[in-house]
Amino acid sequence: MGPTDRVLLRVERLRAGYGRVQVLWDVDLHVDRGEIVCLVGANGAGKTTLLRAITGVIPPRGAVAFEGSRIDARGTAAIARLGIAHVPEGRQLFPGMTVREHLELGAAFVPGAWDHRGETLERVYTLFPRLRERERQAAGTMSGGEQQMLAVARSLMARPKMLLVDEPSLGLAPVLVQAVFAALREINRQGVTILLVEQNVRQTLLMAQRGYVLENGRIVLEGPGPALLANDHVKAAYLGL
Amino acid sequence: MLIFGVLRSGLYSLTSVGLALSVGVIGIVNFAHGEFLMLGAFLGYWLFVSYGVDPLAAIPIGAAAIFLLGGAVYQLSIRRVLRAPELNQMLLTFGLSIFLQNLAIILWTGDPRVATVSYKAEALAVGPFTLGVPQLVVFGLAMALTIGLYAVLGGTRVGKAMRAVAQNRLGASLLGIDVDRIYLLAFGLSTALAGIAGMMITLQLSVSPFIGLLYTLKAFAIMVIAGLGNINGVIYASLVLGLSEAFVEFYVPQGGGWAEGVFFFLILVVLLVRPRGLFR
Repeated sequence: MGPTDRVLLRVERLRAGYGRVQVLWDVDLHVDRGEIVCLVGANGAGKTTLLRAITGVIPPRGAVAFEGSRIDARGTAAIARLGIAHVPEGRQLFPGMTVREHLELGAAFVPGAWDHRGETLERVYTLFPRLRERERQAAGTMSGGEQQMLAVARSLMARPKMLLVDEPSLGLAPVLVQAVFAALREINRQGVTILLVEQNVRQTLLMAQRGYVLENGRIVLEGPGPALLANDHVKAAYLGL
Repeated sequence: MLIFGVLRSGLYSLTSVGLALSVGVIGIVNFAHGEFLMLGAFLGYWLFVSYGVDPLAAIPIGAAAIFLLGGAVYQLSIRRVLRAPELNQMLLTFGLSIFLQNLAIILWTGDPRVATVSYKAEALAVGPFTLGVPQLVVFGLAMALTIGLYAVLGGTRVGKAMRAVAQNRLGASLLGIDVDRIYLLAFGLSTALAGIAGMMITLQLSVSPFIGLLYTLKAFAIMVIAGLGNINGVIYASLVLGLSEAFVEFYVPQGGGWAEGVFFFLILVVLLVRPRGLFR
């Protein structure tokens, strides 16, 4: 196991929850370098909890390894500095700070990212031209779509190896959902591995190389995106067919 | 009258901006804030009496000492109640206040002490007014430090990280910001600012173990006027309090005594009329 290993993130027998309520039961999952992997499932299946356990927002039990090294005992900030960027549920922006300040902070505490901030900023603005227009605006005064773009853009400023994205389409108009998905595809094309959590099952499975289906805290199905789309259980439970 | 009010507000800003930092960034209501000011005042006093160091020249040493003390207090006590109910946090800082006050009584007795620097009684004639040199110097320095803090919060990586942590702890930690370290820094800085204010007090007033409480209360009043946790409004809120006190002293018969109660009245009015604060 080393930095050149094919697997970037490996999760084994992961259990996690809130207080006495266990949400995840022995979840196994891996994401290879360069992949887009999606995690689909109903509300309350444990998708958000899984992302939180990976980045240490809640304490995980079991093993989480990134580039071959265990990260499950580390704190959230330390995990972020390793190159895992988590775009969380609810975006978690700083309402009183400007777009520009968010982007600077995204690069400020991750080794290597600060020195390249000018170049990364240009790339992020190219991806989301809207943010360049709003550079001096406070995040709290922006629309939901703009805030979602800012949340993704802020995490990209760290030049992460891997992006965990939690329901980027939540609460967005369809045209903005398209824009966010297009941006994610472009980010992946630029070399960032993505683990995407979504309720928008069809579109996500079309975009992803592989997918996992999470039900009641357990992985019940996994496979290539198209194969999952053709699966009878997926069709019945998530696509209404 | 106006000028006295303005001059007074410098020290208020410095004291309250520290408290606002602790409340705004960490979410800790530090009832012992004034005690750090008191310790700074004693430090300034002893350095002057024992070594002849001017309290203003001693500010860097004093600030560093109180910063370290504040940091130690954070590590040993505050850090452990961050997730506890607010009542526990308040009891802790209130206890800390009583502890530090009594420690000072044991070490230095309750007698008020006065440090007489050479320029204590000097005054400058500015137009038709005669203003005390210590008051002018203290005002200038206090304002410079307050504005300096704003510059740090607005313009440096660490300062922005502090604001980010204040606005969204989870969002900040996901960017690689070590929240615990930011808290430590914010608390140390908060107490150091109080300590500096204390050292400045040695120039003008007497020093005793009991001076802390009044400044804690006034700093609270200023925070309420500014809006709780609103660091930017502190400077204006300090002006409001300083001017109101001066106003009462001059225009109310025997106002000298009443002036010390003005902050209480202001808290009441602001909470009734505009509980979110005047400067938000």
